[in-house]
Amino acid sequence: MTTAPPLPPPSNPLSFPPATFQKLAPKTFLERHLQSTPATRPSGRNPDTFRTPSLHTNSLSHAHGSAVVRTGDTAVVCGVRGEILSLATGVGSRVVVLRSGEDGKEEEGDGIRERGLVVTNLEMGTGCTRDYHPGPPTDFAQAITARLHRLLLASKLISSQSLRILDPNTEKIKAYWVLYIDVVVISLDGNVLDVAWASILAALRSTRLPQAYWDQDAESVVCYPEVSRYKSLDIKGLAFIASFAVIDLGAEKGGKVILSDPDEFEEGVCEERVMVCALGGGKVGWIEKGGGVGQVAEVVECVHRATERFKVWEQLFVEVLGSSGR
Amino acid sequence: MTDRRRINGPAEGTTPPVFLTSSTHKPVIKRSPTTLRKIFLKTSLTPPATGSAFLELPTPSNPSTPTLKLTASVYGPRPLPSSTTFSPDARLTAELKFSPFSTPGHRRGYIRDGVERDLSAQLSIALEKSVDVGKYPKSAIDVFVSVLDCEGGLGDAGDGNDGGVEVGLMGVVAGAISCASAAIADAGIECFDLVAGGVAGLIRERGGVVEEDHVGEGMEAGEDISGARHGEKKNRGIALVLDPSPTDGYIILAAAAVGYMAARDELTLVWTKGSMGREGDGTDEVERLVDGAIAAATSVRLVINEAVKERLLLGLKEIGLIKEKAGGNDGDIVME
Amino acid sequence: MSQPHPLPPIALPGQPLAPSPPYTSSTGTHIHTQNPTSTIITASIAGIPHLHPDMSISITRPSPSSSSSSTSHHRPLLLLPEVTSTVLARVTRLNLRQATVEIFAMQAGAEEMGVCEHTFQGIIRGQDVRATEKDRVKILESFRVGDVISLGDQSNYYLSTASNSLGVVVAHSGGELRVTDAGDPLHPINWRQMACARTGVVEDRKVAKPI
Repeated sequence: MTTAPPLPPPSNPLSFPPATFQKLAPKTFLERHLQSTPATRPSGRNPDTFRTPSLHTNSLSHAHGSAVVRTGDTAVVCGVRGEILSLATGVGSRVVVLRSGEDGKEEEGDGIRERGLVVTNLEMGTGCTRDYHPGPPTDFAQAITARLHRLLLASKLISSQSLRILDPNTEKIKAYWVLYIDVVVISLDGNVLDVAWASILAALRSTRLPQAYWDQDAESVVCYPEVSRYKSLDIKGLAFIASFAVIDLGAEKGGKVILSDPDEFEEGVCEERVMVCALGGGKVGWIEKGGGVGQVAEVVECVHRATERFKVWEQLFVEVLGSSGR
Repeated sequence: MTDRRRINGPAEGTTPPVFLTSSTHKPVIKRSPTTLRKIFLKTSLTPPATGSAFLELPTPSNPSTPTLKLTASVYGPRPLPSSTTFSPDARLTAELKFSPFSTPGHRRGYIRDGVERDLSAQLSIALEKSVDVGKYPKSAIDVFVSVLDCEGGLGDAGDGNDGGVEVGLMGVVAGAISCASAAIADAGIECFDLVAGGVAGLIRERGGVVEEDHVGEGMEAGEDISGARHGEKKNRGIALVLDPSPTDGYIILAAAAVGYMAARDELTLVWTKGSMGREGDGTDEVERLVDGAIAAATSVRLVINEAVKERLLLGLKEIGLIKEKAGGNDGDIVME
Repeated sequence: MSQPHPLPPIALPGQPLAPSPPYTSSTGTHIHTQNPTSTIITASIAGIPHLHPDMSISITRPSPSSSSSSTSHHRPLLLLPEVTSTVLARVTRLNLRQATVEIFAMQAGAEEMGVCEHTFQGIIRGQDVRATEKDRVKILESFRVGDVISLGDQSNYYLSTASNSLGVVVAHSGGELRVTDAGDPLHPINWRQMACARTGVVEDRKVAKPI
């Protein structure tokens, strides 16, 4: 117990460069940023600022519809591909029994869910960020996929009518189009859900399927090759997702701060999340909130921001896809 | 093959659309055999990665004609996974994936198949020798390539039905090599040289869909190698085509893809398909083919240089190290 | 060959820069032996070549991290821990003989401490904790999980804190037990103890002189 003299207490123990400080104490780093006036996030955005989106459609040659969407450093590519599910061929020699209503008077919507006519997947194993590797999807990717799929079915954007393939003589449903919707994440810096959803919607709106009919002689579905006879899907309305992260600075330091469109760093720090699916006309289709105990006012603020965000997306879609979406 | 971690289609299976009449209209050859297509290459489009690049061939005049689009991202040097044994050098791995919507015909599943394994191996071989792995002991450098769109012609067998070989996979590999090498340079990983991919093919001079149309204008591009061989093709009836595309409509007898380091004049990869004659009278087809692929790769290298330089100048401008005059003679890169 | 060799304003990987006999290779360059009689210095990264007074040629990359880029991604440093580099690491696991840490920032040479893109695992053995009385060191009295430590590198990412300036720099009370949900920050009171500002509780640590 002789050597090594006691050190004097440090004057400023946290005199690190910003990047080191961010790694060292992420939460404090974010809090310090938000306590400055005006409150500014590490990315330079205000708490209620979303990243500006960009959209390109139909840039893939083997897909029936496609879209590339980028907001900030998060970028995804979505391709929609139609394949045919024949009701008559069945498996082996077994003929699949037509379900009730498949004589052409089917109720709206349900064939999609029951028959699995819409197949949504999200791939993150592309080197889009350092934490995801090729191979089976991670729990996170599976969770996002499940949400996208659920939202797509719940939103009833796709009508089952547009997926039916009929026998021109009898007007009976002989086959269905199955839409394979694949979202490939190219670059990930948080909030993949908003971007992936927008890419799906844009790709569906740009999708044109060949005109197909049941050929009785060939006993199979055939399509007209002429591009002019391709049909667009009948996509009803618009819906956009806005995601938020919430951080609690403590009562005396400004309370809760809602961060619109969180990036990867903010998602890692904030435990509380809110997701709002906004529909046209100021309507809200879906709200999800998790982590933390919030008040109604907080959700109301998110809804307000989501409806504003809807307008931004809507305008972009009109610019790129035309007012009718086609 | 079902994949329980993903949403799968109907269990009954689905088929791609079948068209009433064969819509495969004979492609019109517009490009002369020795003209290379322009390449769009841009780096740093995946900012979370250490380095990244995006490569695209120009959209053809007919928008329904497929084209090649791929992204590459590089991570590292990072610690080797704990399962691996000690390595005094960096280990470079490369993974090439086709996106589900990237290929013609059936929608592609997510599970890695043999073709992807093969191309991944080719890619990692082509890149490995360009990276100074000794600088990064016991670490990993991981390269990921995602093919978003491709030109088709992905047959793997040596011969098609009509006596030609398919060059689609070669085009993908060559594009992946160039794009990944640009991404490695973008990452700032030390390398001996950059690798460019190039493809060349041999076509029968008459018959098939190939007419004499290239004789008039084909050689004005100033391609030394093909120009030098121009006189020889008369005896053989075999012509060289650089950067062939499956959409060109050529019947290609043999094809070669190379990974080429232009500054060092070294090949990191040679891959050939089809049968080639070997003769000592100066009409050696193997040599001719590889020389052609090298010529293609040499031009691609200039594009890679430009892309890497563009990013570098942007970075310099950001930190105010260079003034506006930077665009001028600053960029003179001499390749020996 | 003998007059000063002009360097290009920027260089790309593989680009020849200067003949090797008079010039030597430094960071960002590589010596390429074309044939037994000719060796040249080539660039191995894209950047700006510099000629140093000792005839060595190096290449530096612009690192826009100094400018306030709008993206949250800084150009990462391609650094690996080396012998003599000083690192910042977070303690992730403890046992009686050693502490396992996660290296997340490092300092090589005269450059300032930089965050590495990927974390590296390091180990501090009991005998490397301090320079004296090595056999009396108790790991559990030196570190707790969650502590942040600055240390000098020995080899193989075996790390040492055997210097007055090295040891725990950031710690929170409660250690891995996390008695309070956040854990109050501790400040050093001497080279082997830290105290909590709020409760005054004193905990054992191998304390570093802050960098």
